[in-house]
Amino acid sequence: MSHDPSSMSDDVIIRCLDVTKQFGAQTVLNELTLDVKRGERLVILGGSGAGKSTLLNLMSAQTLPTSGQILVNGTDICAMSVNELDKHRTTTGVLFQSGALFQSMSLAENISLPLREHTDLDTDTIDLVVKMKLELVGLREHAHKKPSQISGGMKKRAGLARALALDPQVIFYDEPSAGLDPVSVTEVDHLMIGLNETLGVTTVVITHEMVSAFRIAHRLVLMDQGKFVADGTPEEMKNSDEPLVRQFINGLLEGPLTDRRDSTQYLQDLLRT
Amino acid sequence: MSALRPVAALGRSALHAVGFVGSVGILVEQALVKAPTLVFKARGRRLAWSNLWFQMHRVGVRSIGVVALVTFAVGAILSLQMGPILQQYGAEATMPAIIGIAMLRELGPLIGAIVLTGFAGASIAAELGTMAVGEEISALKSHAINPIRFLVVPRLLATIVMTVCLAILSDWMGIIGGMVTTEATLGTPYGIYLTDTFNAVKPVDFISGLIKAAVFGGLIGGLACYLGINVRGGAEGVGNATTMTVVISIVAIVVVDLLFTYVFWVFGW
Repeated sequence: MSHDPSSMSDDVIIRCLDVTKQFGAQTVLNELTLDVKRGERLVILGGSGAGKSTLLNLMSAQTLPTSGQILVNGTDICAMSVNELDKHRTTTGVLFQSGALFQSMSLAENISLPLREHTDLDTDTIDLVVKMKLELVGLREHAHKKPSQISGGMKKRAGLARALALDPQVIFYDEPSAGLDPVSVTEVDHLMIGLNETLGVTTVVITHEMVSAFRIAHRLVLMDQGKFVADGTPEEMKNSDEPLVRQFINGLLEGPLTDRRDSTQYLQDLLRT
Repeated sequence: MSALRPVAALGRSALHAVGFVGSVGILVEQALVKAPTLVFKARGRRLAWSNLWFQMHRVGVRSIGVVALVTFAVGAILSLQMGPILQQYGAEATMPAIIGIAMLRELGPLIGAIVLTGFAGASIAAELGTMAVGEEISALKSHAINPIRFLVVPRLLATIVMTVCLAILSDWMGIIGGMVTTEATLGTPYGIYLTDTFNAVKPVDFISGLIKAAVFGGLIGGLACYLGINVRGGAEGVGNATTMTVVISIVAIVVVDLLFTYVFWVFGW
């Protein structure tokens, strides 16, 4: 597949082209290239520190790369003005790991905030849209509750309703299963699938929950040390012979991820004390 | 090499301090330059008015009782401390002038601002810090809502406006505290005390105090917002930001007060 920006076809909504992100001397992402197809459910896998969250922050334009290009609908976000970036952000939604609901506001106020800020809708219409978004995630009867009065799973769903407020083209999910019980995880997974299938919203999920990942994904990519090491459908990943993929998806104790830990350093540390 | 270590450490600290002052200054400049234009902006770029009223209530209205009590006590203490000394020199009639000028020029704005540092500065830093830890500030950005416009501008404006308002209250409460105590200890009637106060103080005393109060408000709001939105490291980070806001604000207020007083003295104001 060609990765020339000018050759970006209509079915690609986001293209990361040789993206590098450094924090000081540390390179977190190293010349990554990735296409996200319109309407697909892409799951980005990887251990802690692999660079998943950084990649999600870049794709959702919350931060900019050190080098490389991130093309959204063919336009490079690095070349956008502040106003253009803001406009782009209104076409994407992010579900944060904690839900990130505004604690001082009720669920209804949380969802109405982007609508009040970015649309000219009157109050009655905004109230109607808020009810519809809350109904989508099954929380209409909790509209007037504060985030502190609801459970972790409900917070995630409310965060999702807020992410949907402006009818985004893409939703980024940052560890949607983190901190949830198995039933809530299944609920959130089905919600993501349902929204993708009914509204056609492109779905990008970062997770290291394998059950969830295989349930959601049309396509999976595995990251390690700031690079992609595998890319395929759930079936292809399950049948992969790649040792790193096998270790990660099966949660094996033995494999390249554990072999990387150097015991020499540990011995030196012990001897120093 | 080891002999140079203290020099290197000093240099590092100096760079850190300059960087910190510069960063707070940039935030305050961005917020204050933005503030007037935000009134006329379209939806999504407009000043968050409801947030501004809420912050003014939180910063100012809720502090009225504490500020009034503290500055009343300061006026009373001044009267009690100076009464016997002034009596020795037969100068007790100067008490209203001394307390009036001291409160208007110096103690009203200073004490009001220091009380606000603990009351409002700490609470703003803790609130914004908790928002930063809970990814609420990232969530605002993801919805194309500028945190400086939405969070910093209302808090900074509220702190500046309410510090000035509370300075006026402090001025009066200090004068009243002095008046009540002077009547009780030296027998000066309230009417004479107030007449002497108004004869002694000049508009410049009042206005210079309010200018100081506005700057103190900017320092408290700027430091609290900067330290709050830059919190890292969970609950510990929030605690640190709160403590640092109070400590740095008090130091900054006193140092800036000294600079102001010196400048006013040089120009004979």
